[in-house]
Amino acid sequence: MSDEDPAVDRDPVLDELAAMFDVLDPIPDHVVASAVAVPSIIAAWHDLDAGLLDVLADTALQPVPAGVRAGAGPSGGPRLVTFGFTADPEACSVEVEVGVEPSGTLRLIGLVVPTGPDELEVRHPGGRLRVPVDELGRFRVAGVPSGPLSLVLHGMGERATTTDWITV
Amino acid sequence: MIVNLRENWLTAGAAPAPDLAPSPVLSMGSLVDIRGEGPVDKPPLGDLVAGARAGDEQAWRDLVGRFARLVWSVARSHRLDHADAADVCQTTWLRLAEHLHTLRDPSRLPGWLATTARRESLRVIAGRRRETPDPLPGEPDPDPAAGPETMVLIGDRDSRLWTAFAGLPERCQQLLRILSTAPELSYHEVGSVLGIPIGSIGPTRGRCLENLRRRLNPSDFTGADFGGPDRPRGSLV
Repeated sequence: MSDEDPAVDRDPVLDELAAMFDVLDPIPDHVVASAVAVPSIIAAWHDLDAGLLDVLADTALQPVPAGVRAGAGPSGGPRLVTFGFTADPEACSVEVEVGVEPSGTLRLIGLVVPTGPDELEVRHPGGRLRVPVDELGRFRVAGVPSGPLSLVLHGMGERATTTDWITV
Repeated sequence: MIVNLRENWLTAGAAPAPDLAPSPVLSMGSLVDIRGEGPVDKPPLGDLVAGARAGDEQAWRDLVGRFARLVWSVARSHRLDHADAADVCQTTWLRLAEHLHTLRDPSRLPGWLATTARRESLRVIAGRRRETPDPLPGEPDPDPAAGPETMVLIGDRDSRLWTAFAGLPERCQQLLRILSTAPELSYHEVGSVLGIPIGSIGPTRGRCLENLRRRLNPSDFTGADFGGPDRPRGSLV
C-alpha cells in the first residue's frame, strides 16, 4: 500500500458514514447471493473455452457530443460494442449493435469476423439464447434481458470462443 | 476506440505482491457475517485469490464477503438505482471470475474491482435510455426490503448524517462514499476510479468533510464532535 493509504489517516466521520450506509443503503442480499453464485454460472464454460475476447470498443463509453442522446454512438446511432483479442485484434472480432425492443428487452445484431462460427450463444445470469450465424458471419438475437451478458461462438472446432462480460 | 488497459494493468506487476494486511479500521459489519461467523482474522488476500482460482468455493465466498460492499458502493456512488447497481455488481464479479487466472498481483484486486465497477457503471449510465430514480439527493431511501426493525435502527444520528450528506455536491458525495466504504483503496486507486488527480484527493476530501460538518452542526461549528476542522491530517494535502 502507498503512504497515502487513506486508512492511515482515517477520519472518524468516515466510519460514521460507513455505518450509515450499512443501515440506509445496505447491499441487498440477492446481490451478494448473485456474486457468490458466479463461479457456478461460468464453471460450465471453462472446459469449452478457447479464449476470451475482450471488449475493445463500446460507443457507450465514448464522449457524447452535445445534442446527441446519451447511450447512442458518436453519430447518434445505436450502441455498438466490439469484442476481440487485445493482443491480436485481427484474429477474431465480433461487432454487436445493441438495440432496445419496445418491451424493454434488447435486440443484438452482429457480425463475426472471420466467418467460421455457425452458432452464437448469448449467456446471461438467467440462462442462454442460441441463434445461428449465417455464412457471412451475421447474427441476430431478440429478447435479450438487460444486465450482464457474454457471447459464445460455436463451430470453430471443439472449443468455443467466449467474450468477456459486459453490462447491456 | 476504447483500448483495454485492464489486462495490462492486472498482469503488469510481476513483482511479489505486498501482503495486504487487514486494516484495523475496516468495519465490514454484516458482510463478514455472510457465513455467520462474525469478525475473524482475515486470511491473506493472496491466499483467497489462489484458492478461488483453484475452485475453492469458500475462498470465492470470502472474496465476495470482503469486497461486495466496495463494488456496491462504487455502483451506488454513480447514482445507479438498485436494479442497475445489482447488474453492475454481477458483471463485475463475472469479470473477476473470468480473469482470476490472470491476476498476478492480489494487492491490485480492490482497485481492479473498483475500476471495473466504475466502467460498468458508466456503461449503464450511457446505455440505459430509461430514467433512473435517484434516491441520493432527497430523503433517505432505505432498502425497500428492509422491515420496521431497520427503520428503528436509523437513529437520529444517521438521519441527521444522511440529510447532511445528501446536501453535499455530487462530487463530494461520491468521494466520501468511496472513502468511507472502501478503505482498502489507496488514494491512487480512488483517484483513478473517480477521475480525480491524486494530488487533489486530500484537499477535496478536506473540503467535503468540512462541508459535511458544517451541515451537521450549523450553529455549533467548532467541530468538537469530530476533532475539529484544524485537526492535523498527517500526510494529506
